[in-house]
Amino acid sequence: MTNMSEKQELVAQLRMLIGEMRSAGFAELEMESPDVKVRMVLGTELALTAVSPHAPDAERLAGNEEMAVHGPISVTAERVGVFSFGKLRIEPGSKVTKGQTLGIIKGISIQDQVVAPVSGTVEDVFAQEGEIIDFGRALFSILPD
Amino acid sequence: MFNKILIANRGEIAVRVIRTCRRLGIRTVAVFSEVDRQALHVRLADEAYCIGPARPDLSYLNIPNILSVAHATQCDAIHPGYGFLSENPTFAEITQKCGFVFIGPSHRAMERMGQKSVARDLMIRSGVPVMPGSSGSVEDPEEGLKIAHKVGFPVLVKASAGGGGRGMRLVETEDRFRTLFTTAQAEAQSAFGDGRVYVEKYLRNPRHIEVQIMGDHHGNIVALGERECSIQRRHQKLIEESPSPAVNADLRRRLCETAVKAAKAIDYVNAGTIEFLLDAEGNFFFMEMNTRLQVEHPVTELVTGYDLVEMQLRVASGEPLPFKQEDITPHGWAFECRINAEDPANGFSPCPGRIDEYLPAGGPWVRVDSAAYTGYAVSPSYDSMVAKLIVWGPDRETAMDRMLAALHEFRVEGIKTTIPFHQWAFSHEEFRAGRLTTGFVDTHQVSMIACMQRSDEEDRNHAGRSGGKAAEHGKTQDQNGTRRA
Repeated sequence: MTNMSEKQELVAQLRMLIGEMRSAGFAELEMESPDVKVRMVLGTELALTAVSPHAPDAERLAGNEEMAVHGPISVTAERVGVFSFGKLRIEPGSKVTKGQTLGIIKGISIQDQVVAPVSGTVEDVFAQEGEIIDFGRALFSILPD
Repeated sequence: MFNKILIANRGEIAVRVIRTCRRLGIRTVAVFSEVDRQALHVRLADEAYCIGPARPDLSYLNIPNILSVAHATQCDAIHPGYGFLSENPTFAEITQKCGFVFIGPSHRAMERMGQKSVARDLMIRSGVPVMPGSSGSVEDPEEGLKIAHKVGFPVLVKASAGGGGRGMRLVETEDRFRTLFTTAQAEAQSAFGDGRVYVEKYLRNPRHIEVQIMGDHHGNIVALGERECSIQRRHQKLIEESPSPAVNADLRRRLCETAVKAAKAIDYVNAGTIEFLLDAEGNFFFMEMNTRLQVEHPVTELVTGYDLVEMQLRVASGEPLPFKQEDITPHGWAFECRINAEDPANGFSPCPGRIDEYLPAGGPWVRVDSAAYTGYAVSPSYDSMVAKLIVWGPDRETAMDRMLAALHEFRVEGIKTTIPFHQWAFSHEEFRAGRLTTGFVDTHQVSMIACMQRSDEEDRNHAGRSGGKAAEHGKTQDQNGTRRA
């Protein structure tokens, strides 16, 4: 198993936990295992903080979830469909501003805009023109200003 | 025939559909939730796409995402499997409107069978026997009570939109009727947003007999014989067999004719099942129709020799059925055991978790439909079925012996499963004699639990001694005085 899929697995497990916290009405949850320590606080705005000094994965993961943060932020797909870039072709090094359209995901009846969650510099472009994007797929990473 | 289909499901049924598609040269697209990334259906399909988080309403029930994948991957059709969206008329309708073939019946047929009081009425008008009771739904408790008097207590008050026992009340005596009637109405309203209920006679300890039917777009409807699914717990089937030990050639002919009549009443196309209750005198009554492929379809496949998923694909693509009613002659006997991640000694409570070792049974006439493997984690988000163990024999006795042997071989370590329950059942005198009713598990609960606890204890005593477990289960049953093959 690659490191990437382990991370995706962890993200999936965290998402499931968040869902269960919500339905059970918990506002706060702390969890510790040999490699990861996670503390989650649910508010009206979701906040997720990874607080393990020896778990770099968890910290990157927090970035993935577009929450707590140092380092690049990854922009992930919330919908399923075919990806295409907008008028401006986004490339590594491109400057983007918060709210700017980075591309669109075209579903069967819905067209979803992918927007920059922060202003900054694009570090990586993972999505390709015409590619089928599935749920949770990383599309871009942006280093905030 | 189709070039490529999407399978809007997970687990063993998604794997089952992929297998037939492979043989027929149809490409497959799997969809999965975030927790199913490592699932077998994802690995076996030609393409696979994540459609949402673990929660079913955000993934396996997410119609826009499923259709978006079908569209992006240029699928011709969608197979819904069972559960999830399989009996959702809206999904069937939208699928068609988006230009895909829905591999199942029309949404209209689904709608009519989904409303139980409507289905019941339709069956009465088509000359299909139903349990005595109200025609259509009843609003007034006094009117309901009149019907209860006419058919005689005990009666069932059932939600018209119901399923899974919700909005259903058993009324044993007159004085309880009004209270329970209004409770059922209220429960139906809150569970289904539809408070309509109807009243029918309650049959104590009947047999559950169902008929598999298959219809094509050319007006042909054929019955593929019956299955008996009397071994249940809280309306959840545990063991199924075909044919039924309670059905002779004459009864089979009448059951099949009635099932075809019921299906014709709604111009049914594709695979469906008509469920009947059979009383001790050999009278049968329509219970409901399941408008999809069922979990227990393999027993029918083994005795008829037809691949039902292949038939579904063929009729959905417009081909006529390749057989006529007179071509269907059940051959031999088949059983299916649902091996669930549940603890039979503890009220069949779910036991999700990681499977440390998975060694399925094998050998001649043994089939295992499963999506499990060593290291696979049974998720608490979905149903607890780990595998379906299906065997065939030339007669019931031989098939039972083969099932017992296969159950002793089957190893699932790390989680509790219903394997010990099945070993108990297949060693039980009443079961072996074919004296089954839907009350079997409840009636014999005490001896069953005692047997489970003993085998648990022996497992603990022999923990670490490899290879001894199967033999120990056998010994336990001998001590219980039940028969062992």
